Amino acid sequence: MNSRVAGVCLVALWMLVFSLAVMTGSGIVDWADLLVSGTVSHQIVSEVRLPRALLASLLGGGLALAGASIQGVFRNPLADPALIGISGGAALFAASYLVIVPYSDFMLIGLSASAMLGGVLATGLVLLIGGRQTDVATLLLAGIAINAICLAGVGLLSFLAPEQRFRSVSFWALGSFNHVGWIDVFLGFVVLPGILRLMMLASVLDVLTLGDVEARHLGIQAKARRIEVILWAALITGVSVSLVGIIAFVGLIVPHWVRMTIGARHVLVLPFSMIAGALLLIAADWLSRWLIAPIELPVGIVTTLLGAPLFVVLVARWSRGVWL
Amino acid sequence: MVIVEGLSLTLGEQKVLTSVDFCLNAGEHLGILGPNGAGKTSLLRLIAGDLKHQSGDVKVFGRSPHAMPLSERARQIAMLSQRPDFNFPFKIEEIIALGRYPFRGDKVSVDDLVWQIIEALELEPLVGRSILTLSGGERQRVHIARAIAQVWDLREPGLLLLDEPFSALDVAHQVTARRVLESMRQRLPLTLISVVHDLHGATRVFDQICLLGADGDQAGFGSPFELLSEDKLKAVYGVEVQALYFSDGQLAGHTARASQP
Repeated sequence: MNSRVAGVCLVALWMLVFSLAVMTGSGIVDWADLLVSGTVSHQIVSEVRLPRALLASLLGGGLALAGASIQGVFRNPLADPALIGISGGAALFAASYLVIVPYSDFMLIGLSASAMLGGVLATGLVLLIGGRQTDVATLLLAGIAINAICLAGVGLLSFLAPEQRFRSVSFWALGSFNHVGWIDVFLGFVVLPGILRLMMLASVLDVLTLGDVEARHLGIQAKARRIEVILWAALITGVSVSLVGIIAFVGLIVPHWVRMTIGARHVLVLPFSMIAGALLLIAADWLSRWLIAPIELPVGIVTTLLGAPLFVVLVARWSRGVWL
Repeated sequence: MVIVEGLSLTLGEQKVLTSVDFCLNAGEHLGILGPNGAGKTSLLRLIAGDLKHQSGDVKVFGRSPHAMPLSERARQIAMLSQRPDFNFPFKIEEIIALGRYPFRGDKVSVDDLVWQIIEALELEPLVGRSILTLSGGERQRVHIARAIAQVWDLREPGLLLLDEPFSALDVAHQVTARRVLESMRQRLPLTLISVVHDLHGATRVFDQICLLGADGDQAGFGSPFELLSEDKLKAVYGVEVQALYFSDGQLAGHTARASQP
């Protein structure tokens, strides 16, 4: 597919779904009142739907970009921040913060910072366990183990948490845009430095897919660059987990689709993954509002329902030696 | 000039190389031969600066490769490892272009250069195809092209290290690749070092041979005619080796059979 045409189509589609997400929903909006400040219609659109669609775009784009980058450094198209421990670590630390620290005005900032820290620490642990092996599968297995431990910790916290906080912990661990406001959108912009830096590393990621030894022969400090990419991906994932919970598989499905249709060079994979990730998460959030309306499904369930079957197909293809 | 002096390498408890010495003049092609586990790849990686030796010294054009900054080293020393894996559907021309990474920012058209290499190595039928759809031999040809791209337009003296570059190639493509390497050596300030198993053609391809014994010691260094004698090869490989000659009397290669008890 011609990448320019695909890019224009994708942006147009994102704009369409964005508009749809802002214009439609359970509340009835009187379009005549939309621009009149103080009206219910104005409030629904400006205070609920707009920040929600913006954050879904930002985090969807960020998660897909983080996924594509992580796959590049792990040289494995099956890697995903939610599968290799980043999301689990972020979730455990954020859940701990939620349960342990008393409520304050700085709750969201503390939550984001602790989630980022958790993501980085879990990734550090994964690298410590599996990083000495050059075998990528070992790193992935270490990630899966750490993720399982972290999610068990989140489950334990949900069980032990005081009654009034129990629901928020469990609901948040499934991923949801239900509570999103403008403060979340502003905090979401913390992912921007990570997005920009990863974009700058596109050609480095291309070389890293050859493996560490070959990358060094081409002048790249492979280990240092790999750790840098993982840290930026941990930042993006940590912020995302702290704001809307674990949203799995966006970082897996989207880069996979981009590589199959657009190409494998990261200078294309990264920006296309961002746009397609934004599109997918808005669409998933929109679906989560409509699937069993008026009840709203956690968006993490929708992305998992979409991504898990694809993951099964990919693993089955992998076992037959077919990667993409 | 590549100088290796008293080079020894121990990995863990395992002695990999013991006192390897040789001096290779700029522009020459050295073949490293020896049985499996003799330390051929380790020697190549020491020269590339990938590994740090315990004793002895390596100098490539007067500098220690291990101490050179990576970005600088990549502009002077290229290396093709044994069969790098690839898990993403890069097109072959994109992979060849990766060889130009150390020279990003230079005012050289990467597309033109990549196309010249594709034509030289007769890779045109594979253009536009994903590496994942190629056979082992085709993938090896693409990786040779990538390593070649790194030294295709050398202006300063450069070194190309090849680890079993032709192990999966058919004879026709071996001839093509060898012809391209030879023409590059004539055209550029390029020195070549190849690790090979195949004794066929070693006499005609290499200017010098470094023969390693099974336990990593140096069994000899010199011209192919000196080193590839039947007795020497029998001592190193432990099999009867017989020299084969073309009808004009030139040495064509060797054939081997198990030693009689």
